[in-house]
Amino acid sequence: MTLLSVRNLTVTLATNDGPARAVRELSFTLEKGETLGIVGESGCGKSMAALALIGLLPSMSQTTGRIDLDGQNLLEKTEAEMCRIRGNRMAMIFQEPMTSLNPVHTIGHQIMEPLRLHTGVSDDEAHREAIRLLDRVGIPNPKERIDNYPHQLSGGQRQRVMIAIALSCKPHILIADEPTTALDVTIQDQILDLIQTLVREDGMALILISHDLGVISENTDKILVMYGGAAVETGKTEKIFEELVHPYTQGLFAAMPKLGRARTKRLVTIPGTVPDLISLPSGCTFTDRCPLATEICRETPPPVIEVKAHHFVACHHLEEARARKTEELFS
Amino acid sequence: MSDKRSLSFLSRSSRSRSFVIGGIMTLFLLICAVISLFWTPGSAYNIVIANRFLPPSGDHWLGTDQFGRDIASMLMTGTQNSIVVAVVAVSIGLFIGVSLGLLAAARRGWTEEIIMRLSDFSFAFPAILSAIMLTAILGPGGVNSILAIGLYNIPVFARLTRGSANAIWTREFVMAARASGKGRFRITFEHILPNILSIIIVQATILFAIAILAEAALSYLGLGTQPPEPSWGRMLNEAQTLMFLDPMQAIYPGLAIAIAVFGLNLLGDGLRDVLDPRLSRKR
Repeated sequence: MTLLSVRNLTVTLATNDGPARAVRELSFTLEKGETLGIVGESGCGKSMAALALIGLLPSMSQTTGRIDLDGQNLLEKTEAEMCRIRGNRMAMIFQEPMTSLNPVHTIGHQIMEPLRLHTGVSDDEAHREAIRLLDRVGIPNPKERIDNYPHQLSGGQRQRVMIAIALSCKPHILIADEPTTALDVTIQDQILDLIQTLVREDGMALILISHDLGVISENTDKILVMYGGAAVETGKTEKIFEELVHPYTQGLFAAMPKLGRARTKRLVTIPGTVPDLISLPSGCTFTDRCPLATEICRETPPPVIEVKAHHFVACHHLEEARARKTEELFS
Repeated sequence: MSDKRSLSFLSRSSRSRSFVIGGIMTLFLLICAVISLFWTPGSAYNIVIANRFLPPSGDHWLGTDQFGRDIASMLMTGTQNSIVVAVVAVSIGLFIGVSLGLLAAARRGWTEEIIMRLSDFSFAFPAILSAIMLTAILGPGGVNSILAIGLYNIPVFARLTRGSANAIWTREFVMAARASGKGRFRITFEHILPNILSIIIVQATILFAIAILAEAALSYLGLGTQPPEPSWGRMLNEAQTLMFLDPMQAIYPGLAIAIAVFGLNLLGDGLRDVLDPRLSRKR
């Protein structure tokens, strides 16, 4: 059975200016042991989608669609039932390791908590397991470090502790929301490698959220490119990198700074800014910034077309987008 | 580990001058109260008219009042009284107020709305006036004055707790705790309360001083502790008519109240520095 199946997930946030659709009609599936990357710029709804999955959206929001975990719709679960799923069958790592740990408890205490909560092990066992977990995430001297407070750890070490907490109950799905954005580059790779290794060892499914196409391309089986709350391009990672089709994906890729490029060359940018989620066009969300946009884009949601096996793109002007080179689209 | 922690607590507390001075003053009062349970220099209750208005001497350290009672003994016994009233009154406010505040922050919505509007409502009445009103209805006496002061403390704690708890609820580690499957109740006790405890302790110390002052005020008005139980407030009241005959009789209880209030305020201020090292570093 499919581990996680999301269908037509729509999240509407109530704001002072009116309802904002942070996520619209998002659909994807995730099999056991599979890794999915969700990529898009800030404000494209990727974090909102993650919070919707784990049921922690702010109270002023409305979620429709279906999120089936092992065939059970999570959107119909009560809060108490969701508490048993969170941290147990589905865990999450957040962006800010510096503030994601409670400053008044030791890290050992914080790793043992979910264990006690979900598995009902004795204190001794929980303590042993916490040391084992710290060792697994690569904290040296786990027996001593277990009594440390968060402020005694570096950012990278704290993120390792967060990973240990997330993995403590052997979840089926791990959601990592920009897990390395707050860390410096040398640590980034270590943490991503660590997540990869642990996910593979435990046969977990991973949803990796990032704004960094590079991070996503190296660490995932499947990609979902989001813009303005909607998926614009999805598919197997290698298929997508064979040919970036959607104008937005092309722009995102072109905007990545590359080493060795002539200094005089300016960075490629996608003109315009992230759209206001309240006044998005009813059709394609990328209309206002797309060089290929026509009237039909604004009015009608684009059809999802399978351009190749395992590679889907939502665009009205597919042929044109594939024919043009990225440099011609954004220059 | 615990050694290291207590060491840093001690070294930090010795660095805060207000904590040390306030602590000594408070400790002095506590010792007076405890000693007075077993022993007083004279009798705080025995009326010996022949001994009235005696000047300070070896038998009567601070002299005697218009009924010949030993002033030093009355002051010491009065300390007991003030401390009991303040402890009970602050505890009432602490437990009910903090619970309400935590509940409001955890539940939000209409629960928070009701709790906060109720506390706004009670803030609309001046504390001492409502205490007078309450004791006037229930009758004067020690227990009723405790109730009146405690009741006034509830909204103070509720507001403070709810405000600081709300700030903690928005922190990332609370989100992380929720993502690991903890319910609101668990998060409240595991993550919210430990993080706001220092603020509550500091507030409790300061309200402790206010409660001692309020008890003295109520007793001064004849609504608090009833004779023959000695009380600082009533001693002030009785000394009032003798202001020009024997001014020291008014000065001694006044000084006792001042020491208590000043000491506790200093202690509260010092505690803030000691418990929240981030705050003291900024200064």
